[in-house]
Amino acid sequence: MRYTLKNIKQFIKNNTLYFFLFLLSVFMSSLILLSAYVIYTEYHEKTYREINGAVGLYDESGSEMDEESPEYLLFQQPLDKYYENSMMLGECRGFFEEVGNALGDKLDYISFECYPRLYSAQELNDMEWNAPYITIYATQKNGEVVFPNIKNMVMTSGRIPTEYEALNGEAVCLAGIERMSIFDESDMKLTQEDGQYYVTTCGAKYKVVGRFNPLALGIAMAPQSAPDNCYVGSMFEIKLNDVPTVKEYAAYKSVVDKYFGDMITQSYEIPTVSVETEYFYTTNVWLSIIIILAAAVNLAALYESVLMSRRKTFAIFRLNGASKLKICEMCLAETAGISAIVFILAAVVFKFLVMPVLSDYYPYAVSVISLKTYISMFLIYLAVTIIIIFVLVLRYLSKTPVTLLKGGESK
Amino acid sequence: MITYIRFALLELKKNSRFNLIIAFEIAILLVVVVVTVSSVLSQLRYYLPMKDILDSKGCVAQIVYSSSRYDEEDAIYYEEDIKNKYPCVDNIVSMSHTTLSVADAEKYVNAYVYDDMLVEGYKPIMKNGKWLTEAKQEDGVLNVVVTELNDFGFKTGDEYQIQSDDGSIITARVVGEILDGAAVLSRYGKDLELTEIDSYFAAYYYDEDKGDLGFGIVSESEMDKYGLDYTLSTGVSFITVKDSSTDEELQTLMDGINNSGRCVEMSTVNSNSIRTVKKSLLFMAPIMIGVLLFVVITNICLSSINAKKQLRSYGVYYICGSRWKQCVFISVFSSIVTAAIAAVLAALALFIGDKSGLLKNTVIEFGSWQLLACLAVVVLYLITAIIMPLAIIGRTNPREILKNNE
Repeated sequence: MRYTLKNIKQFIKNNTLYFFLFLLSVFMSSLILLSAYVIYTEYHEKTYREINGAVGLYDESGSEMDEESPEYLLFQQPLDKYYENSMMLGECRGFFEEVGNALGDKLDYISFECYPRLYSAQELNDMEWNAPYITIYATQKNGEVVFPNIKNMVMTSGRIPTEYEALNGEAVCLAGIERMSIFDESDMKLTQEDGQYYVTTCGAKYKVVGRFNPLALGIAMAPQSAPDNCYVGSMFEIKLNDVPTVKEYAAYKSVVDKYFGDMITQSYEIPTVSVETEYFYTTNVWLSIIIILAAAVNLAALYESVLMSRRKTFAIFRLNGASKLKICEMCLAETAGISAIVFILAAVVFKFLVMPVLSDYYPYAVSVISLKTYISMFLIYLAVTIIIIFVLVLRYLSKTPVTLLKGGESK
Repeated sequence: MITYIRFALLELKKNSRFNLIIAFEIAILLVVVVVTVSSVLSQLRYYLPMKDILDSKGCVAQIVYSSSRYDEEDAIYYEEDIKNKYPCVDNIVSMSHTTLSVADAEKYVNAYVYDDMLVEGYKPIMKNGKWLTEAKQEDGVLNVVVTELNDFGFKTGDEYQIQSDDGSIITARVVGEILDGAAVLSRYGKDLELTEIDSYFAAYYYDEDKGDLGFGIVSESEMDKYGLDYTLSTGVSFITVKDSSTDEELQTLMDGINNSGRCVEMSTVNSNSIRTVKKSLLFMAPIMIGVLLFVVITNICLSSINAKKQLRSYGVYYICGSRWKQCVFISVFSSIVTAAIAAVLAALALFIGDKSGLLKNTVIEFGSWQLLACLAVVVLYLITAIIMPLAIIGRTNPREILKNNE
């Protein structure tokens, strides 16, 4: 620590210009990094809040979502299920693949409800909606329809169906075992053999590989495993990763119309982004990335000169027995120390001088920037700086002390 | 002079690695500037093409086509209808409509006819191919741009024969496709807010349910060249009046237009547009200021480092007979070469970005404004290349320089 401070003092005394430029470069890079984050966040926050405001979104328990809820971009599409218009799962298997193709990476998963048999309205009334569901979960991975890894799926034990099981239509399922006893066994029956649970429904027997959501009515499986002869239920749910473009939404809509056109009574409009807006913000994201790259190169160029001007110091250290790693550690400690102080100063300037001005232009981004953001940005900045400096110093120290004394460059 | 140029090249060679880093950094700066200017221009893309015409005296009209009024005296279908009836009219820049009948097929192409000023001023985001101004014009060929998705089934490169009103056959060639969702001049008046120029441009998506089945765009001059008919559409028409026209004449014109549609005075649209532009520029202001500061500070850093590195050489040159002025010349010339290398690197990066599809979903393009901005960056770099050596050298004598920079 003492040597590091002495080093810094010597750096300031002997290379005032470079020290000043180094400070300026670090300060500017920090401001740029923070500003770039603001630009990047503005677009996503704006989209998030406009969607929240425009559409009533529901979480999986049916409650209206507040702005803090993580279940954003989760939409339910009601289907009108009457006896005359009933559809079996076997008729709409292609739906899962086609929706995946339409939405691509924007699709997180689709969740689909089916019934083991067709219930009359009277039966449903009598059962008070305790009819067992076969819930189909699907997503696309590498062009194949698989069972998704749903983050907030409440698993009480076991596992979700594997890709192999999903792709090969293995007879496996997840079961809400706690509720199985209320069902008529002709609809859905739970049995246990040698400690392993099985569910029999629609004439097929399914091995329970995991237990999920104690309140779940019935079983959950991948589309390929589900029986063809179960009946499409009263709604499906779609969870997205990101807001689709109008083109993607149009493709999705045409798939929904193709399979369920007559069953859609209430058209649900998923918000979309316009091409022009998307292009504009993509450009600004690229701008941020390129500026950060420029700042990094600037820092590297500047530090290269700093190393050049301090070559004699390093040569003397080497001649006195300091190892390359030791000198490297000293340089890193020096840089980290200066960078930390300057970054904090830049963050203070950003928070109290720059942010009030930016709040008029980027209200959404400014409102989500917190202490956590500053700390994350600082850690990223420090990590990148240390890597750059480490590589530069190590490369410089690969020269012999004599070469360093003579001029630092081989003639 | 030649000697100093040689010295400059020698300095470049001596610090080749470092000069390459500087060139690389300036190249990144140039790319930053191109991206920033493209971003700013994208916010002004609706106003800039119309700027000159909005400054003029006149009105912006939306003509509502009605076949039931065809025989009525004050019905307006052609630009000539307006010009003949209202002598104060100087020029009309309009978006008209036509139907191109495909010969030997029961097919027609719904097309819009853009005035040449509109064609030159505004280019929608293209999916592929070229915009009308970029396509080669050949005799006997009518260049058409179509929407990416269209019911006619036309794609870039397709050619078909169309029949003109006098029965002659003309070849229509599809030169480009407009991206589905790109903003084009609004075709229908329902949602058109005449006082706001931004609303003149609406994103067009292919939608069977809404009856949006695609369309083509052709230029007015080519339509006139081949004698093809078109009428004023329900899009916008910019009508300018002669400078000598009185306010009463303008009012008479506007009252007449209102019988066949609606219109607002050009000055109203202009002031609203300028307000919108200012708002857009203010939105971009933090980015522009940030980039400007970044460019200035980076230039200062680079020039300082470069000057400091070359101090010893300057000291040697001074002792050998040069003066500081010649040393500055060496610095400037080597900076020019570095800037030239940087420009080549930047152009290469943008070219590769464009061809590889990295720039596909962006508004980045290279035009006269971007070129001017790049030149400004280079000039700034050269200015700092002059100032920094002088500032560092100051009133120091060469002996001290050589002693301090061993």
